[in-house]
Amino acid sequence: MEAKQTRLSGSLILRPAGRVDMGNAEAFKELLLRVLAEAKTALVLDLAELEYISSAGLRAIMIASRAAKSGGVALGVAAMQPVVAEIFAISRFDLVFPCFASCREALARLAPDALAGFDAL
Amino acid sequence: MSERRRAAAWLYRLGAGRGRAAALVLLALFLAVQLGAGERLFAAPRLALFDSYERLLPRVRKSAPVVIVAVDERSLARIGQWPWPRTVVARLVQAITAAHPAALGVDMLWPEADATSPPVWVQAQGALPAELRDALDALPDHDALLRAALASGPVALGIAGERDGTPDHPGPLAPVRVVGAEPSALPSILPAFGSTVRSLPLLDQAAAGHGLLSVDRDRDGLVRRMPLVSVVNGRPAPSLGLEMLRLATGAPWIDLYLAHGAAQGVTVGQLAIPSQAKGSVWIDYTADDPRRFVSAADVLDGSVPAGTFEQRLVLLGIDAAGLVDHAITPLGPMPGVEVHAQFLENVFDRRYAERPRWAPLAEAGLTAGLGLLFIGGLPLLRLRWYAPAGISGLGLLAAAGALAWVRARWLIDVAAPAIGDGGVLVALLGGGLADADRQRRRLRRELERRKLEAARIEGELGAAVRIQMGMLPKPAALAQDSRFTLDAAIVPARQVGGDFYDFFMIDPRHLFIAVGDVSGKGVSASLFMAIGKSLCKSCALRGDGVPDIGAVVRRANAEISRDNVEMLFITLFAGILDLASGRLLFCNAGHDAPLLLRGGAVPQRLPGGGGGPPLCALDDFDYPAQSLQLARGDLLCLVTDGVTEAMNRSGELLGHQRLAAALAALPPAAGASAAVAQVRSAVAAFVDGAEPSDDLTVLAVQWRGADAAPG
Repeated sequence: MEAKQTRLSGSLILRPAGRVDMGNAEAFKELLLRVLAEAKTALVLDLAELEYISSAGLRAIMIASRAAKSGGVALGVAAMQPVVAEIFAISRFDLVFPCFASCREALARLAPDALAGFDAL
Repeated sequence: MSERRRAAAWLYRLGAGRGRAAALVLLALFLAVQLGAGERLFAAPRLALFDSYERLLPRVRKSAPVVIVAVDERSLARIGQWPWPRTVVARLVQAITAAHPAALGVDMLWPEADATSPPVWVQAQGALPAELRDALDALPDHDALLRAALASGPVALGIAGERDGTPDHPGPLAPVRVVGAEPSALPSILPAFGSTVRSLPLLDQAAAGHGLLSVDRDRDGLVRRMPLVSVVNGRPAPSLGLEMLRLATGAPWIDLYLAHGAAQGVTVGQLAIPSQAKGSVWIDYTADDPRRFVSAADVLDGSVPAGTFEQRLVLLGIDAAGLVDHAITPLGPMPGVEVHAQFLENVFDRRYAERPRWAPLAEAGLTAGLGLLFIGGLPLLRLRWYAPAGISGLGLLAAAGALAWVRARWLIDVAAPAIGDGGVLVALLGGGLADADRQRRRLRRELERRKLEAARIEGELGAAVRIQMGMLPKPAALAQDSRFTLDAAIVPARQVGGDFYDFFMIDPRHLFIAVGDVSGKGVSASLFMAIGKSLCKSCALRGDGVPDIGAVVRRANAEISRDNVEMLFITLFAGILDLASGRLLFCNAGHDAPLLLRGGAVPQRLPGGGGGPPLCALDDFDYPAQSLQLARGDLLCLVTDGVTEAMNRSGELLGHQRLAAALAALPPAAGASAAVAQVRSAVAAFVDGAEPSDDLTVLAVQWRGADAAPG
């Protein structure tokens, strides 16, 4: 699984691509926690390139979300493809993490000061 | 590996391990033997090595200072059988001395008088007519003729030395001055002969010089060295070649130098010849070369080109089959007279094969140097490089020996170092192999232990699966109730997982059903499943009457979340079916929505939304209850994602659509068991033998109505 990172002042956008399932969920969790350690304000998961996520992957996000909460960092999920959006809807994880239609929307809500940097990209 | 263990391993590599100790002891022992008795003990391989130098890298014949006049087959054919009348020999000698040779060496002996000489013949006949006898007496004596010929030039006659035997007449010997030691010390240094075989005194005394024909024969019979001076009856006597050199240079005597109980060499006039300790010279051979030879027949005919003998060293000898005494040399057999010729060529080229005095020390040094290099270096390599590296080392040794021979004609014995260091190599290799074997055995034991461990864990996991399965209720327990049909199944994956289903009667009218799936796998998931299932049940049964399903899930969530260190979560669909009314109150915590089969219509998933996230995702979520009115014959099918995400060999997922299609194929009156069987066979057909990665759980419940007839 590949994941692109974008650093904005105090915030990060992580853009994982492909599938997250049983096989790589543990690596995905490690990646999330590592990236989270660098974020001060917000971590936005840009899921535009994520094709599938299993319950193990959702657990990884859940663990990251708890870590974010205790570190005072906001974690948001944005730009889900329909399949992933359905997974979130069925499992009702859309109630657990704040979900946004786009990264811009997520930043606007979670880290407004990073928005200027985002728009400048 | 920890730092300490790494350090220990390095110390081991540098220290006594890997056969080093044994190799070091072996090297020390070998050195002691090599220095103490090496000259004798390793003589055979040493001589074999030197012979191979001679054979593979022989001397190139540059000058031709020596001519051999040979009594060969052709001469015998022309003159007649040997021995020839001495008149013929005298003519031959005369022909040579007349051509002004530097010296003539005679490799022949005439110990008896010529039987064909007239006076001798007359004596042998006894009574003869006086007239005939007088006529014969008037003829010259053959030996007198030969005597005259021998006296006509610088001729050296051969003498044969004998270790024992009757002493011959004490004839003249060349003057040898001994420098550096008492002459009485000579027999302990030089080869000594008890007696000699010499030509008739008449001939012996006529010759200007006298030299020994004897050569140094090694134990294996090979002639490798030429003694310069030997001892005859306590007196020093030169070899034939050396004596010829004395005659050629006109020197009145030969100086023999001795020091420290060993011969150093000789000088003849301006010429100095270094020798080995026992007064001999290693002969640096070329192959037997016919260009050295001139046939005696041609000399007698006068058909030899003029100048052939002019100022050259001439040897007279025999080279005819049956008569010749062949010397066996490292280059093969050659006539004895040619060995003397080769020696003289060595002197003329001033290039002597030599085993230097320091050679034994140098050889011990080579043994020690390469041996220590092996002991120090090889164990740092991988075992499979031992042999190539070791053989390269020995190859370098051989190359050094060959180089010393080619450049300086030094005979350095690298065979003994090769034997010693070969032993060191074998010891190291053995040590390394033993080490590797030990390591292999240790690894095998370790592997064995891990296998046992794995088997134990597998066994425990197997037990966990059995316990987990044992916790699930048996559908048959409720089969008697005609108001509904119910069936459920879990097909566990190889790795223990966290699926569960549950059903029980809360009271005679209300049926509780649940399907759950713990995220993750392994022991933690299965334990979590056990906790989740028990909590759900206890929450459902707590208090009096029929509980609110939303409240049941809320309570279960709160209790499970409390001790969730692993941060697992459980998706759960739980419902309470009123068997009297067909009303289902349910709560969906992040689980797949069930499929509803109604009256032959296309199976529909219950609409999503309205539920909540999985248990443990949000501690205090207010799970709402939802409601669904079932009609008679309606069937609800609940699955976990092991069904919808069953993967075939090309990586496709089964999906909701295929699942719905499979259920749509059921006959209209099918009950719960048929639905469960249909789902299982649909999954089995789809994955087609691919290993399932997740538990597969299906639960079907069909409401048949409060007053449905049994069966």
